Amino acid sequence: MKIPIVRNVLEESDALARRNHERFAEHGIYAVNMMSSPGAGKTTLLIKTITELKSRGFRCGVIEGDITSTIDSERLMPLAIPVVQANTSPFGGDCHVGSHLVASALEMLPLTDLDFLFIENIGNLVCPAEFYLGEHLKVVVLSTPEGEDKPLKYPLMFRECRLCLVSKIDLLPHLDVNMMTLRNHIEQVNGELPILMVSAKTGTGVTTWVDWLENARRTEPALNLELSSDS
Amino acid sequence: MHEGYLAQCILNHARAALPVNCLPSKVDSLLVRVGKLDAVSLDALQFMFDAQKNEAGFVGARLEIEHEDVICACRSCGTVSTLDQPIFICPQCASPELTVESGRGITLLEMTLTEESIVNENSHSS
Repeated sequence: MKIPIVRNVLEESDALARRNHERFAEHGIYAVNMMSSPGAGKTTLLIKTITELKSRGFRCGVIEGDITSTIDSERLMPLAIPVVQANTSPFGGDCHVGSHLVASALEMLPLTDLDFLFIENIGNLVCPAEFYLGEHLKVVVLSTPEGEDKPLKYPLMFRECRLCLVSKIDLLPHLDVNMMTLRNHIEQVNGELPILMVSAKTGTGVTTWVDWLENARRTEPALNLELSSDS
Repeated sequence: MHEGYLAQCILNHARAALPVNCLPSKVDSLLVRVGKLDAVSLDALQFMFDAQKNEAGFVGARLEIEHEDVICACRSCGTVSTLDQPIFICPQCASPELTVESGRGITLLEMTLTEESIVNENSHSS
């Protein structure tokens, strides 16, 4: 006897993500899911990004996803912003941040005092792309030393994201990386993906990226900020 | 990498869909559709399902996986195409403005029960 079911296997995860999304909307928080390979420079870029956003008067928080350790959240401490370390296990666990981890972290954050919330996902170009966390923006950070082939090798990541930040561009003179080829590979997988070039070390491109973020928050339909007096 | 979690979700959904008085041990197979665009290793999913099914009571259940093609519709010229590699460019007009119509998502489609699947209250004692 056959019984038809037809259920999204990730239904519970998606439902929790939608609840996270509602909570962001309730508080006017623009949530950004930052994803990349390990070592692409997410944390360093976050420090520069948040420093710039703070100078513009925005209030930021971070959910720091790591399979283990508090190294990244300790690096964010000088920013004096709310940071929740979301480890999946003391000795290494999940390959991605799940919507349940975000939901738990939201209980520990002062939501009424935030304009931006950054979710620094676990370094991995595969699994994090699969899961909706309730965020408004998925960003993939691709560092120049990783080479030109990553978009072709990890297509889901580059399809799911709404922005690609090519990081560590200060290293380009020392690398055999052809930016035309890299751009071409990104465009083959997702020709509608905007690309911004940044260097957290020199600060190149950070202002443009923060302008992009500020505009994305202001025009995000789910937050309905354009008609309010809020920034 | 997260195939263990997916296998657990499949078993949970299957349990919720069991008819009244039907034991999970009476499930012969579960049919799941996995989009080719999803970052899922089918071998790993199969392995994780088999590793977890006994503890969940689905002792004799087999996991059947349907790997769904990635089909895109071009928003420029309307052409619908099936991709055989992750190059998202319209084969007709070379536009990058493609909408993924299928090939993304993981869905539990169907459960098949064994012949003697419906048991009465008396046989629950086993």
